[in-house]
Parts: sequence; structure tokens; C-alpha cells
Amino acid sequence: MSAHALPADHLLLARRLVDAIEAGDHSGTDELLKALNDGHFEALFKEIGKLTRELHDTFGNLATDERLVALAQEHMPDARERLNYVIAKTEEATDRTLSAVERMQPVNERIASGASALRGELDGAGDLAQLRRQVQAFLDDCEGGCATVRGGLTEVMMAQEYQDLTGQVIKRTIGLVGQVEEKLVGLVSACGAITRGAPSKVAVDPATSHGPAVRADDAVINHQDDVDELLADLGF
Amino acid sequence: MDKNMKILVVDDFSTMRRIIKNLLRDLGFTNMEEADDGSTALPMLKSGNFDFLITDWNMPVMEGIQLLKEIRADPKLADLPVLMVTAEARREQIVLAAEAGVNGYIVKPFTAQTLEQKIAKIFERLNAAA
Repeated sequence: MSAHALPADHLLLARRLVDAIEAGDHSGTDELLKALNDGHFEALFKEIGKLTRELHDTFGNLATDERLVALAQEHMPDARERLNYVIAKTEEATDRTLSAVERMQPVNERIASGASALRGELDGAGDLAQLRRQVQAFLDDCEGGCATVRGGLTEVMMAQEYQDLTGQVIKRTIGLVGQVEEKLVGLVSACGAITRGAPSKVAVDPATSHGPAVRADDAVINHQDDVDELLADLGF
Repeated sequence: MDKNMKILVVDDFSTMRRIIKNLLRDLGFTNMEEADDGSTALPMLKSGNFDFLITDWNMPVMEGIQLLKEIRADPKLADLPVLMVTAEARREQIVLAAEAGVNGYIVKPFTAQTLEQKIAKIFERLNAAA
């Protein structure tokens, strides 16, 4: 409001006020002070009135904006549900994959140790009938083991389906977040006309956790090599 | 390095605990237990004769950094080697963990090779110091 220039007649009134004070004219001084104040307050009240109307209209529009009502009442709860679905789906995929890996690991170990035992037997090559039985048993084990590994690999492959499903859900949620952001920006700029203050930047507390770094940031270290370098600088 | 040493794996995600335990098993370690946050890990550490701790940072109730500070403040646990495996990758966080007395720091996602190297390095240094 200080940006508004004072009306030209304010200067005239002020000069007359000084004259009245110097002349010791009390009633004239009072009258002129009142005249000056009236003009000033009138402008202030007018400005407040205008801002109040703007604020009222903004909130009024918010309440009747069907898209915003739908966002709050339907899309936000829906988004929460969708994100929970993403958590459930990725957890399920990880469990399936890890279970398959755990099933395949002992098969691999058994075949590897069977093969090296057989190599030892071949090097010795004593009783051929005995060796033949051992080779046959090993081949049987290999065939069974391969079937287990084949099943496990298929399972690992199938478990990756979550990527497609969760990707779609996350894309939709990103769109929703964009709409909410747009509405919030509108609200903030409407309020900004009154407060005229820029939001203060929130300080980063190193002791609180931030989760995985999803975008590049000077303070975020992306590679284990950089972590190692930093720790080396610290005497590790 | 003693492959029979007792290791506690702390992470709030069961899948990550499972992955770390599988990797440790691959590296030949056999004696592992798990906890889902600092507040459940601390009493286990106090009564369990653990030789090594692998912990996440971001967990509910008690975070990994707090667990590390509690360990260093406890005369019976102060010398326990601690490896942090976490998605927390801010420079100041790594400095904070180092100041709190962490023995190694791995950022997620990580590889089996990184885990092996860091564990080997921690025990090499401890043996050299002993």
C-alpha cells in the first residue's frame, strides 16, 4: 500500500497543517489532522476490502470447483489405495523372486559338488562298474536339478510383471499430484497477495532420514565409490 | 575373518533382510539373526553376544543412526563393528555416521561384491588395530 502515491491535495493539506501549528491555531490543526487521516484510512479500508473480496472469491471458487472436490473426495483416497497396491505388488514380486532363488541355490551347489566328486573318481578310474553307476546317478540328479532351475528361472521372469502394473499406477498418481500442485499454486498465489511473503526454505536436518535419492542433488552421493572417497577423506 | 561369527541384520523391510542374509550365506556366513528396527535390535545386541551388526538407517521407532549412537555409548557394545547399508546418501549423513563411529557405509542399491569388500575391509582394519 505504501506503493500508492499520496493524492496531490494531501501535500496542500499538510502545508496548511504546518501553517496552522505555527500560527497556534488549535481548532484549525485538529480539523486539518482529521482531514488528512480520513483520506488515509479510506484508502486503507478500500484496499482491505478489495483483498477480502478476492480471498472470499478464491475460497468460494475452491468450494465450487468440481475438479477440486473430486480430487479431495475421490482421487486422493484412490491414489493412496493405488500406492498401497504398488507396495503390495512389489513386495509380492520380491518374495516370489527370492523364493525361486532360494530353491535354485541348493540345486546348483549339489550339481557343482557332484561334478567335482565325479572328476575325482575319473582321475582315479578304479572300478568301472562303480564309476558307471556314479555317472548315471549324477546325470539323473542333473536332469532333476535342471527342471528345478528351469521352473525357478521362469518364476523369476514372471515375477517381473509387477513393473508393468506398478508403472501404470504410478504414472496415474503422478498426473494426480500434478493437478493437486496446480490447485495449491493457485491458492498460494491468492494468499500471497495478502501475506506478500516468500515461503522460507526448510533446512535439511542430516539426522533425519530422507529415503532413496530420486533425483540428482549436490548433497546426494550416487555411487559407492564417492561414499568410499568421502569416508577416506574422513580418515577411514 | 571368522565365518561363524554372529551377525545381526537390521532392516524394516523383510525383503531387504532376506537379500542381505542370502548374500551373507553366499559369502559363507552361517550364524545370522534379524531385527526390524533399532528398538528391537538393541535388546538383542545387549543380551546376544553378537560379533557384527549390519543396519539400515531409515526405520520406524529407532533409526539406524540412533542405534549406532546407543551402541557406542554402551561400554559393553562400544567395540561392536557396525556396517550401514542404506539408501540415505546425503553427504552430511555419511559424515554424521562417520562421526558417530560407523565402521563401513554402503549405499543402496548395492552389489554382492560391494558387501563382500566392505566386510573384508572392516575386519582387516580391526585385525590390524588389534
